[in-house]
Amino acid sequence: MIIKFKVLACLLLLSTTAWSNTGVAFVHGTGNQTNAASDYWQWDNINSIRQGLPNQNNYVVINCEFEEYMWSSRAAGCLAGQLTQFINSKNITDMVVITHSNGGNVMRWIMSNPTYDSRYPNIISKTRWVNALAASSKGTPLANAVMQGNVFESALGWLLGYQSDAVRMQQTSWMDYYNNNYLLGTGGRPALPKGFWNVVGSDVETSIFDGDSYCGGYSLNLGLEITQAWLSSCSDGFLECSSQAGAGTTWFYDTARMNGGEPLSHNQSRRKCFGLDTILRDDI
Amino acid sequence: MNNKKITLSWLLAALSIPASAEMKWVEQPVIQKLALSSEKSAALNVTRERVTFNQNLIGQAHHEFQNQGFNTESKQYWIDSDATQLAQGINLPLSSETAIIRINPLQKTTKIQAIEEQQIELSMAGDQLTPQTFVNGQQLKATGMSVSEETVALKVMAQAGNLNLKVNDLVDKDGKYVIHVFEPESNHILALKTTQQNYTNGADVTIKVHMNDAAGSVPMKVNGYVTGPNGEKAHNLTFKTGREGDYQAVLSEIQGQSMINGLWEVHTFTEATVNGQKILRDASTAFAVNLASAQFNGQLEAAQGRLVLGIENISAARYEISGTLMGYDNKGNKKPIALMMAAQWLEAGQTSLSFDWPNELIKASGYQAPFVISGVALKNQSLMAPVQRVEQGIMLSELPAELSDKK
Repeated sequence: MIIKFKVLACLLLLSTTAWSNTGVAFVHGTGNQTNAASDYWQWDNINSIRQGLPNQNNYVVINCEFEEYMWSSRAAGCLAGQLTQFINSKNITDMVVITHSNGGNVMRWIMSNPTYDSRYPNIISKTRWVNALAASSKGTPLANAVMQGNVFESALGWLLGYQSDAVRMQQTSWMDYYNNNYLLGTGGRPALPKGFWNVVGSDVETSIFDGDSYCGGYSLNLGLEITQAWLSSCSDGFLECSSQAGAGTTWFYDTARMNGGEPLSHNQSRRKCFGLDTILRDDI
Repeated sequence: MNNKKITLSWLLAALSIPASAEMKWVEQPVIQKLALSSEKSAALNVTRERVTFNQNLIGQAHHEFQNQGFNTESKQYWIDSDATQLAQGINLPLSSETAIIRINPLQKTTKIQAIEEQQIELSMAGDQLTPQTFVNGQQLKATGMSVSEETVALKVMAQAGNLNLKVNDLVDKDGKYVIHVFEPESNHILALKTTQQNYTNGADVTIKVHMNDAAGSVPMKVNGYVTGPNGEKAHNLTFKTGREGDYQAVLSEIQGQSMINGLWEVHTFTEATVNGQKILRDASTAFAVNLASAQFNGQLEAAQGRLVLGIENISAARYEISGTLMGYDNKGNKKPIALMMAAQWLEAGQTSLSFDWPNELIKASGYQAPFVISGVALKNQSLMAPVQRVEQGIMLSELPAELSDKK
């Protein structure tokens, strides 16, 4: 049903593509990026996805400081600046935004708070939809684990830079507040002004005998043996499925569409793995 | 700049027609004592320009605003320790068979080094135990968990009782550590929530906490405190036993702050004894306190295609008004039309903000008067602070000519 709906929306868009100028933007997750194309998304992935563009030069890879709170001038402000520059310089009229992890929250801030910054309404206007890969829409218990409990630890750790404002913000009780009061698209709230389509990673494969676990993923990373204890059985190793599907509309779960029914771990959903790049390319 | 605003306000007022017969606040905004932020932090958003946005809600369901506190559940606790204690061995109470233990250095000094697996000794009731899994900070960070490089974690299969953790040959003899214990399979669960997620300035914050196991409520000792958005401790909490086995604390007359630095938090630390075994659990949850730096003064005007809401403001800042416009379909059902938003910089004093009236969306909806704007909210965008919310909002029995595009 969801797939059909998105295909229908695509067909409707086809009628306008004759005079639209389509572009794609890649929005990274938590972290301060200066070269996200190489360090975060990887060029083979970007080059594969942008093949879906009529003009393959119409793409931008965002580099911002997503260690900050989503509303910060260095997070959403930076994102708005780079998207506006992209729209203006390339004369983009139809933009597909691909986000990963916390990048979905920063994009959702822009779409939910259009009056906060005069650049936001034009970005919303030009956005066709957002493809949100492994979005941390409802936060993660792993952020709770590193921030909560002993306040002395977290306050000091915070000062020492062990944690960032973005991690603090992605605690589950914090995201619940922001979802209910500042963000749109979660249950019981108005929908976002444009589609927010979730790709949900549901499992992690780490076996050294399984070559698939090497695709940008974990080569027998024992860290997962620890961190998955905080997460439900449906998770990508960092986020529970309920968080990834927590805002907007679920486009698909990994095993339903990936080659060989492979799951997408949190790192794999931003890489060229199991045909995800082809699906994203065909969606532009 | 100020003169320009006065001129514009005067012009709008002169062109408007008071329409008290057609439009009114269904729920009068509560007039309260306004408060300035005591914080020294700079304003976050100082842009002046007016920005408006009317989002199409036609066909969507309307949801009443829910002001429910978030329910946090915990099967974990944290304790402070140091190199001397760890060298002698510390007891970690466990209530189940599996424990995840994270050893996190508190200070980043040159002497601090990541602990090696060989340095760790685990024992329970005199029996030596071996970690099932041992990982370092890099391995944890690779999963996305934001820990320091020197953090280590281990998973151990044990049983209910006291697990002794000993760390040999620590390089920094003065090092301080936090030991984090998580029991994923335990059925002793601490639940914590505030009764609301948003509190108005000066309101009492009620905090409820209880521990359950398979047999029901567990009696316990509870300590806790509240931290402000800047992370500093603001208030200690005193918990009293409730009627249903829960524990409750009330923080009186909390004062709002800017939330540039984040949210308020409640932190609770509990200790119970079940069948002679100590159970430790800690939990935290977040809430907000509205900073009443401005308020709706009750005035409404329709002018030049805008609905103007009067505002009293003691703190110059960028403010936003928002609300859900609803109309009636031909069966008499109230349906959403638009999420209306408008923001601009306001100087202190008696002032106003106005919605651009969404005539095109009303026309597209086919819905009729009376129109209702519910959930009318005022936010201070400069300080990331909710200011006021009037749930029942505004009703327009007829569309005034000043808002109609047929004029």
